[in-house]
Amino acid sequence: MTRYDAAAIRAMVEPDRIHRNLYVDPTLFDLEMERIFGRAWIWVGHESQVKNPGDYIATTIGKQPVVMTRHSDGKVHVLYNRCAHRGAKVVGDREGSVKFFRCCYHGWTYRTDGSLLAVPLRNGYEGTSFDMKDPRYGMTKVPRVESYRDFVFASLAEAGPSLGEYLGDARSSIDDMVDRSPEGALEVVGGCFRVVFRANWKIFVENLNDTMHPMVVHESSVDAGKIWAKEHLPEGAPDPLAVRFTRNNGFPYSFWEKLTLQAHPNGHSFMGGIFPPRRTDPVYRQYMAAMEKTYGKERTEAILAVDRHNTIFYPNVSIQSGYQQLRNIRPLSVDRTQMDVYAFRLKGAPDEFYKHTLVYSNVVNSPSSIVMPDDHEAYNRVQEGLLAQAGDWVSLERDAGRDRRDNEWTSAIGTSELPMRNQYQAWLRFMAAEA
Amino acid sequence: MHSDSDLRAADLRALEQFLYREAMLLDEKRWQEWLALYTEDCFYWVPSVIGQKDPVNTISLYAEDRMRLEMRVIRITHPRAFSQDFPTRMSHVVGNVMIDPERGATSDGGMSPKADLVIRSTVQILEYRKEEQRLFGGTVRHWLRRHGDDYRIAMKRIDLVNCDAPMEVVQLFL
Repeated sequence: MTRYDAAAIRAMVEPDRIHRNLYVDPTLFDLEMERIFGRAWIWVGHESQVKNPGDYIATTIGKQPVVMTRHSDGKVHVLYNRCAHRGAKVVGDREGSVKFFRCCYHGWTYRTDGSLLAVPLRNGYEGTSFDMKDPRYGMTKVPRVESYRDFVFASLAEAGPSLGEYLGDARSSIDDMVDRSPEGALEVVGGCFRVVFRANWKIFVENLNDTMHPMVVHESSVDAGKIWAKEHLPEGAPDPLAVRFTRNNGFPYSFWEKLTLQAHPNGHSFMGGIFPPRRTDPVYRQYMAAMEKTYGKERTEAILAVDRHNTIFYPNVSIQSGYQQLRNIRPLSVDRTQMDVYAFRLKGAPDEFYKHTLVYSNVVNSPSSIVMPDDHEAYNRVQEGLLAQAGDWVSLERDAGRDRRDNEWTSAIGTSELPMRNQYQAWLRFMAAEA
Repeated sequence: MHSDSDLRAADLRALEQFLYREAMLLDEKRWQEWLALYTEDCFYWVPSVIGQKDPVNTISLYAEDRMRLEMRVIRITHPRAFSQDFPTRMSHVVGNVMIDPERGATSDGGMSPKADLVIRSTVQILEYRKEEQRLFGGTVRHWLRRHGDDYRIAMKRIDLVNCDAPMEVVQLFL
């Protein structure tokens, strides 16, 4: 086991390369849980998952079990999922609706804001320091919870930047996703894909804005779309969605170079869109009509002109605003990660429109995706390959030194490794801060 | 859906053999012959939650029309499907074959497949890849359409007991 002081951590992150220990050392993984997942704003859930008072979902922040609830006053709370008595996890399932929580062990009960409601045989505590009103005897609230347009984030740090300061202009990607609803609101659809891969969580975060991999990694699914279309469709016929979602990964390097990557000092980044932003089918026209009814023509045009593919809000959540997908990154161990994938309905959009979202979910983000297995194979090979002691460094040098500063953002051409270099500068700031 | 006389006519043995044959084609990766068991308008569905009502209001592990089944076959047989460098191997065990007591009434997800009978079975699937094994199991329903002396699959629904579990990618067919 290596011990890491701040100097040792700084020595592992250079501007354009990082030490392989970042991916393979369990000690560093534990430090990440403490210093990144224990301090940053971590996405916990979406308010539509707890629509009514009493609704809850159980999840984790880093390795720690938490529960997000909606209390009777309508307020959303994030509580540590732990009984104040002997420490049992109070909520044992993933989601549900209750009047109050009751611990399965000795029957302590809590209101959905975490406050203690009752304990059996209370007179047994007479003369002790036990106090019904003392928050110590409730389910503890995590230090900070903030919501931006129904996206709920929590921070386990008592102090630090507000959610707005932390996300900065990266919030514009959330705006992009929400504004696409004719009612200005999203709703999580039933079900959640929980996909596990055998690699460090950061490899996936890097991959989100890596445009040099698709035409290599995804050759088999690109061809699946191309070959199917060639065999079944007349020349020039529009691609069915499933074909489009696969074959676009095979665009030549010149296409990806023309995209723009933007990176935010706190580790967030996004890339330009890769699918035609507008469609011409009847369903899309119906959707446009609903949008124009709410926003008027000009504002609708402005909303739909935004064209972004993946946005990562460092460290644990990524959205694809154009296809209403969200991926929540849940590190399990240094070499194992779970990704929870949600699909959203744009409230007020025609039902048919939402079917396109589902096609995207199935083709790209489901455990049975035709695209993702080859990504996961690549992540796993990085994880396994880095066990070889063939030098200490992993290269992030592509297009280094050619970044452009642009207010809050740093930008680069689509094939740059800027987002990764940037993620590790954010990583370093969290990890080198010992206190 | 099937009448009582259809039920009498239906030779359960022949239906069992049909399901075993599908399992064999999957295990032996005889993809074209497997696809040939499905109708042109088929639907292949693996729900993501227990008792899922439809493939529209809840996401599904698989919700595939024939095009997507064919695309999958192209991919998994592609020489550069890197995730198949260690090829996935499967062994299906099909059991408890019976005429579906509900005749598919509450399980077709609103797809209303054109079918002559609905067979219910259970399946256990042993899967091996990259030096590890895992097990899938669940209830299967086949909506079958008569095709000469044989049948074609108009819809297949597989309800896995672990449909909502965290899982690594599933590359082949269940």
